[in-house]
Amino acid sequence: MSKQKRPAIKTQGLTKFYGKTRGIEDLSLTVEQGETFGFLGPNGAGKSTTINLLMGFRKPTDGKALVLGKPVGPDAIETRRRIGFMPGELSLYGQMKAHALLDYFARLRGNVEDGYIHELAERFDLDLSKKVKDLSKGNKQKVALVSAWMHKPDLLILDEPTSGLDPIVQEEFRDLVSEAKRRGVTVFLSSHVLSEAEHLCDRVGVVKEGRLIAVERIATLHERGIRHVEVQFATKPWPDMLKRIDGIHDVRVEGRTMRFTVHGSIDKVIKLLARHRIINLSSDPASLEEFFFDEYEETVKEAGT
Amino acid sequence: MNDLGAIFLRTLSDSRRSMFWWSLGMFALIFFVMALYPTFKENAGQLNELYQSSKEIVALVGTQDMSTGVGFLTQEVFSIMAPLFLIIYGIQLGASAIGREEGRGTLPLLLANPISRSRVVYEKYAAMKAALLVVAAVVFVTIAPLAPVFEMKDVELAKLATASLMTFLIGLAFGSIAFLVGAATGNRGLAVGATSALGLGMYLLYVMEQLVDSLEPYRWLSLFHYYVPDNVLTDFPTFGNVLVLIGVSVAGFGLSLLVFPRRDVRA
Repeated sequence: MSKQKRPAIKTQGLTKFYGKTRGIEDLSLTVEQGETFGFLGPNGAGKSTTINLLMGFRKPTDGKALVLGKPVGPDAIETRRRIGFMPGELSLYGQMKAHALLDYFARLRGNVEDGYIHELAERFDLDLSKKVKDLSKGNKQKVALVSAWMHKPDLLILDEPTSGLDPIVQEEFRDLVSEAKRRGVTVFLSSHVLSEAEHLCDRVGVVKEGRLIAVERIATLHERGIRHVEVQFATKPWPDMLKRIDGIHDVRVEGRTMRFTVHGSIDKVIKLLARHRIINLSSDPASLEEFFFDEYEETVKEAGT
Repeated sequence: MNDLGAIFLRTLSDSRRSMFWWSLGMFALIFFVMALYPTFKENAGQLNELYQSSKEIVALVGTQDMSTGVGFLTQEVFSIMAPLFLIIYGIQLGASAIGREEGRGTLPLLLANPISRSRVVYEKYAAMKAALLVVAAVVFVTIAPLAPVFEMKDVELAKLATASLMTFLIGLAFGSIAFLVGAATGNRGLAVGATSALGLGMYLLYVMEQLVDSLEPYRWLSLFHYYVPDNVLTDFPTFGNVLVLIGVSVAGFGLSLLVFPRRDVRA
């Protein structure tokens, strides 16, 4: 395993403006080698801009970015040799047959084994003999996945890789990312669906309106996370019984059922509940959406004071 | 090693259908025009008189003697039709080269490969050149064997070759301008529109300049002035004229090479 000093991606004050319109502002971010990083945020937050800067499609207005230790830009040819890329707005040469298209990119890369293309296609159950324009959206996405994977890259940069994919392909995609992770491949993927990143990533960063507002390990999020708890008591509970515990919110009582949310550790709650006769208890982690919504609100409040 | 020429071959292969239709169109038009000549030349005298009667008509149609094969071919093929075909096709090819990839959104996936942007310019430009050369060659290859068949014994092969070459060069010049606009803006429509407008302006200038004396100082601005529609088949082109047309192409190519690698692409 290569877990050493040089990060796969490192940006410092990376900024891109289109005239007066903001793309991304003052982004400082480090993604370690072998890490799977989710770059999250709503549409238009600056995710694609960042990816375009990392790929060298656009030049930053300010700041700098190193990818695989080298400055980004149109001339970073050797860096791109080690990157697998999937664009957000997927457009492929529709008139070409899928295998001709992959052969074309394979020829431009020069380090692709033909057998591996077919292996990937078989795995995805993808018919390479069809014209790209005759493929379904999911199958087009598969072609793009194969083209990002076929040269066994060290870094995958994927812009909204699973948007519009049917669940089966999403499953395959997850397998592929897990496999890449095991091989030590770094994955940088953007998404506006947080639950997707929750399953795939080691860490996530959240951008909103061009600024990075949070970076967290998924594990930490789960520790600090929000849980929805529902408890069924043998006798009618009183709403104030949990009052003394920190992080309890939204307590509602309906007959013998009590519902509330816990921010942070659930340990004290369980210990307190243990003194009562409990019929049933369920605890579901809240989505990351809720978590980051809270986080973002706090940021706004801080900024406002 | 990555495969040099892959983008060239891919682009040319994408143009194979258009190349076929433009070649077929060129062949068909030249063939039908030439087939008319044997019956036409008997009545050419009257037409010549009419043509020479006003300088406006001369400016539009030239000074050829329509009764000769060379005059007839100049009039019907080389003064407008053949260069126009190559110019339009050149503009289409040049504007599409980078403009279409960018407009359709295929450029990011292409540029994600370990290739330089200059290589994209080199190979796409070469593909445009090759496609134009094929269609220009059709001019030569159609006329050369058919001239004796249709009683045009005065057509000289060497001059036919240089005239065909000149149609290629003027097509390439306009193609290179469209290529540059496409490479600089990534906007195929703009590249087609701007270059077509420029071509039309240059053609009007070329025609008007023969009628309006005050326009004469500006005639060097029109590329048609260097193509010399009236004499392209009767005289060998001057070195200077060839140089100007090649110069415009080289400038379009060179500036593309300068601009495209430095700008943001639409992704």
